Amino acid sequence: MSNTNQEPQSELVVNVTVNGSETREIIPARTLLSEYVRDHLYLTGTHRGCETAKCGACTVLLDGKAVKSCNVLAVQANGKNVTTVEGLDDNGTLSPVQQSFWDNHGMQCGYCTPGFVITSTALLNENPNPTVDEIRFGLAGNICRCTGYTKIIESVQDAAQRINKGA
Amino acid sequence: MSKTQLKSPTQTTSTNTVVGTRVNTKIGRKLVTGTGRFLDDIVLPGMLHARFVRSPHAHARILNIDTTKAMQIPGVELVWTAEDIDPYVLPFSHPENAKHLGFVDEEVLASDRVRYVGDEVAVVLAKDRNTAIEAADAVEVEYEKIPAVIDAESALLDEATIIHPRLSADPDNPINGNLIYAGKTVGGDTKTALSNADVIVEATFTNNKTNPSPLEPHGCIADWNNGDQKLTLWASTQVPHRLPELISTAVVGLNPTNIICKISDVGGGFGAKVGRYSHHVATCVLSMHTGKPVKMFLDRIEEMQAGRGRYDETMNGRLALSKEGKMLALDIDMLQNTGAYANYGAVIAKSSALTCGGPYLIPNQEIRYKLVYTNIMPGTAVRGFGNPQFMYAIEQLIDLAAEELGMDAFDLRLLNVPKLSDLPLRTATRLKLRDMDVYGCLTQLRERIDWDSNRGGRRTKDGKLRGVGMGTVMQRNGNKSAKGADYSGAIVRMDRFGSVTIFSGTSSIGTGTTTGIVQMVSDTLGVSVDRVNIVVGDTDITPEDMGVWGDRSSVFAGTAATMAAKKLREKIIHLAAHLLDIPESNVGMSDDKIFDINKPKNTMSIEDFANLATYGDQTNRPLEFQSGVSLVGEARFETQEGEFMDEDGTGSVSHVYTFSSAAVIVDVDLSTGEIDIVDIAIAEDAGTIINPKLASGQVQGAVIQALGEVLLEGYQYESDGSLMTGTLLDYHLPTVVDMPIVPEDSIIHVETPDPTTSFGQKGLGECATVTIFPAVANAVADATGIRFPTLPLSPSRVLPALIKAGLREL
Amino acid sequence: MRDFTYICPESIDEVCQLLSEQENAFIIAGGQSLLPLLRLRAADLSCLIDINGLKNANYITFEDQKVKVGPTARHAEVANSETVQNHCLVLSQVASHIGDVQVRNRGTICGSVANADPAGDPPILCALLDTEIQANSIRGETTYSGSDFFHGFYATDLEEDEFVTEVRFPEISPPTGVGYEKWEPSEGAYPVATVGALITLEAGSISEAKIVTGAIEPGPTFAEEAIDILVGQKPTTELITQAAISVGENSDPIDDAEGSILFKQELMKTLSKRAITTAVTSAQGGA
Ligand SMILES: Cc1cc2nc3c(=O)[nH]c(=O)nc-3n(C[C@H](O)[C@H](O)[C@H](O)COP(=O)(O)OP(=O)(O)OC[C@H]3O[C@@H](n4cnc5c(N)ncnc54)[C@H](O)[C@@H]3O)c2cc1C
Repeated sequence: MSNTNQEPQSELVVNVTVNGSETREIIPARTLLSEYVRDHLYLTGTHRGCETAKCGACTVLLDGKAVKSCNVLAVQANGKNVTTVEGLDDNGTLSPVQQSFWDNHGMQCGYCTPGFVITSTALLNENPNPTVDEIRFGLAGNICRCTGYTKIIESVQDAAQRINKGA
Repeated sequence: MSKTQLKSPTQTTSTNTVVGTRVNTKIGRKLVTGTGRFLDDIVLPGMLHARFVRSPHAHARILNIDTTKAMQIPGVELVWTAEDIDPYVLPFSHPENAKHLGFVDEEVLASDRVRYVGDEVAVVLAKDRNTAIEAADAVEVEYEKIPAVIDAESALLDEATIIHPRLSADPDNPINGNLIYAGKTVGGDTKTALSNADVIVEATFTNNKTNPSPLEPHGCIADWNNGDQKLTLWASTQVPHRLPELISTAVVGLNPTNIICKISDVGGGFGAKVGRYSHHVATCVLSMHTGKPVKMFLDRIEEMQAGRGRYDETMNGRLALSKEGKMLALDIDMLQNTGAYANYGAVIAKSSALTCGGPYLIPNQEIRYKLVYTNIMPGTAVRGFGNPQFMYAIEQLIDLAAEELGMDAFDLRLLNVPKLSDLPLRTATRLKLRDMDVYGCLTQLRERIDWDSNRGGRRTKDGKLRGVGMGTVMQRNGNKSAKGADYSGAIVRMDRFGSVTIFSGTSSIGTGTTTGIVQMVSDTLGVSVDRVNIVVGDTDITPEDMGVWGDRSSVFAGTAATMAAKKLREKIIHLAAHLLDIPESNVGMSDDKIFDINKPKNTMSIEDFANLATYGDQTNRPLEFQSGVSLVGEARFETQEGEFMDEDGTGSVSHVYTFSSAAVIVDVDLSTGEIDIVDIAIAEDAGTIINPKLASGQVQGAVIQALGEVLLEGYQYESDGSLMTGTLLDYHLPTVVDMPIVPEDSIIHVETPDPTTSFGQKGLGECATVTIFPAVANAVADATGIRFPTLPLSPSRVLPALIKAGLREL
Repeated sequence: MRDFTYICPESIDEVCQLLSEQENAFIIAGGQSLLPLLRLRAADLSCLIDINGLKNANYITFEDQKVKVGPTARHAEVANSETVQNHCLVLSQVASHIGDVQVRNRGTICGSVANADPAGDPPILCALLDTEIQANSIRGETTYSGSDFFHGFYATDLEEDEFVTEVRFPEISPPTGVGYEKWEPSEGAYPVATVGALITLEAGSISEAKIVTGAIEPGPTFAEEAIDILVGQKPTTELITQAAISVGENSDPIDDAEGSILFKQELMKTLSKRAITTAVTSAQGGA
């Protein structure tokens, strides 16, 4: 950070690496990370569903950790790596988690889906062989209103198998 | 006649290759990559952002509104109050209310008083969302509080404050005090039946007020074009073709045909997105006024205050039976806490009163309902449309009756439902029941949940009390009476590359309907699903449709699309017969090929065909196609089964009904009052299952949505009408940890095809939302002997009841 | 959200300086409590001092028989820390059940302690374990003791120009044991009732007992009557039950949307019984 020994600022320059690309913008301090990716970078896969950091639809990876981007200031991502749902596929080839959510119908309306896909990606990075209870515990910060969750759990189990098989 | 001539009117006889299979949802790839286009993702040049100032009080007079400070904030375009907007708008209500009953009670912005926390008071327009929020906060409203009334019973007392005094005083209006409307649905003669009965059970049940909380909040963008005088409305809605009509009733000088409705991807609806809201009307007016696109995207706080949800209703019911267990009469007084505005109150009451007899052949039914104004959030359509409330009461009355008669509750039900061979028949409320295997569903349900060894309650090894319970529903598929007609249109087009596009006026809200429609069209044309695309919603390109609600879309939009595809198929066959030089009756279509069924080597790919037919040498075509071929089929499917409701509230309003049943096993923790769902079974007859994967997803989702309502959720208001559950931190939606796994094999599809739909399909998305309500309550009663008059069955209710019953353990 | 200014200093001294100079300035640590408030416009501030840029602040160490948690150590890091698991298992257990994964990846123990949310878990643990809470300001360093730091609804002894720079948890091992229980209406929600119990055994009898309840009242509350019931006695099931009932009966819950006074008192009995039982078992050297 280059802010030390300075006065507090109401507008700041931020440099954030988003999905592997460096971004640089001048933003008001109050800009949320979710606003940054949606309104400044037009990465609209990160959704807003509540005002209280409850629903998880806005989950992104911040230096590899799942966080609710509506509950982090964009300036707090300065100098860090952010991965949004748009950064998961490999030139159009879906990631194993994305493919499993599709194949197992781990989604219906799709509004919560990016958040679940991101949280699941982080979960499997940290724990490649989760039990059903570990999957549940790991996804408790994301709300889905459509699926009833069973097919989401199955999607994550299937994704784990695909990743472990190197698929 | 081609081989696949549809039966009455449309069923195919060719073997289905895609219908009935687990095709992936067509929209899945875009959803998992985050490339869907939801409402808030749409940005138009010069777009302004609108936000309401909402009332913090449940009931108050507006004395003064000072917009000075808000106007001074840089980036604020305008701040309007009722006075400013009134010249452009008209009061409105749900059209059913307006047309038949006359209570037009809603204003876009409250003119003199606010009637619930969240009521719209002023609207702000600014350059961006944050500025709009800031400005809305800066509008200073001076209120004078009026006593609020939050429950229906108190609202009917003489001393209660009247919430709509002007409507109450109007002699031409049925509204009387806070009583909006009283009506009844009558089939047979309950009075005589009650007096002749051997057994009468009576009980009262009240459900909780809930919000279906689609994860995407409500929102829309209105874009008025001053040049062509047309308004384009992007909306997160279930009813793209109805919304323009609904809006036009509230905006002066705006005809439905001057509104083009385009839908974004819709992040869930569950009924809450079938209506017209103030935000629709306000954005249209503001766009017309400024000439700029105007977006309004509500936040979750607004959703909780004003997003609307399920009505809480109190059912005082009586079920009369003979000593042999024959049900003789159902008699219910229903009191609906309608909230600050009538909205869907009356249609929901009437529609659910009509079907609440369910699968039971009860010869005498009388349901009386009262709708009452109170100072709480108005209700709306929600998955189940009034049925959860009724079935929660009625299925518990049946269990009580079984107890009274000393009969097994399942046996009692089986004694009163029709067998397949009894059909068709009309129920006491004149529902036409046909082609449904109620008996088959129930016997399979009984076996799957192992009713006979679980019933009666017992202790588990870890000291919990276990019980089993069940519930049923007869769910409508569409509703002719609610909308004045019930139909869907479709256009199916093949381009010169052999790709197929379906144009359907339905909306895609996650139910999987669009994928199902694609499958039906695929099979009708013998092409793979990858070749078929579907465009939904946009009113400037898709044919008219009533929208997605009431389990109707697979039935109506699916049948219409199949009919349209069938017409296209006839054209293709006519043309192919000529190209292959064979009689039409010998033309086969499958696997993306067109061929001679007797000489399969005489074949052409669908691409070659399409190219030749529309682009190749004209002289190779039949004479009548030489001047140009349009590979398009078009159709409309309108119900001939659905009827209008009679004065007495009866009539078979729906095209077809889906029978569904659920059973659950619960464990009750005596130290906390927590209820665990140990096992679930669903048995339903939704006709032909078009896509087992997506269909089971619907059922699983419905089960969990209902469990959330039954176990966790519930609006709570202070006595002054303040909302205590205004965020997702205190209104608890179920998480993946809270909810049981519902494996696909717990869902039994008994498939009795409906002869009137294209593939025999019926609707299924709503059913399990209804049946879970009584199933859980009956299971808890089986486990503990306790009946809970109110919902949810949260530990805060269950634990004190366990104490009272002497069951509590530490 | 309203506008504010922002700064991200690198040293504790700079933070202290800013706190003393800036009008209406707030610290932001994990932001998991503060940002929702700002978004609801329920808090008004002019300047945010982000402590996430502090050098050497993200630490969890074991020194002087204490687990020391630095100001930017996240709940998830505390939960997964071997140091914490080895020396103060209950802290790891509590941290691993705060909110949900995403909240734990951002939220901090020091932030929770400073915030003193009645429904927060760390304050209960701090009161129970009498943790040392270290705070800094331009006036120097102060150490508060966890058992009398909290004063209900977001109120603590912290001065306006101070901020929490470390929380030190004592090592817990037999013959002392701790149990902690909470009840959430749904997973990841703020708890409706929390209770921590600490038991020290001597010759098979309870020589020291502490019970602290939370979430039902404005702040951590010691259950004195129950403590009196336990001390000097053998930890039989009957005694534990009697103490648990006393915790519930003598508690003074708030009646709100989550439940009635009766419900919360009853729930507290159940949770207390579990927590005391766990404390006794671990004091005896059991799991
Ligand atoms: C959905 C959700 C669920 C949650 N569930 C739980 C739960 O079950 N249990 C629980 O305990 N918590 C819960 N939390 C809160 C979470 O633990 C927060 O992390 C915690 O309360 C505050 O820590 P923070 O670092 O995020 O603080 P911030 O949000 O950054 O700050 C909170 C307040 O403390 C002040 N502050 C922060 N750090 C310091 C410091 N070092 N010195 C002085 N002042 C400081 C800030 O100025 C602010 O006023 C939940 C939060 C969410 C969003």
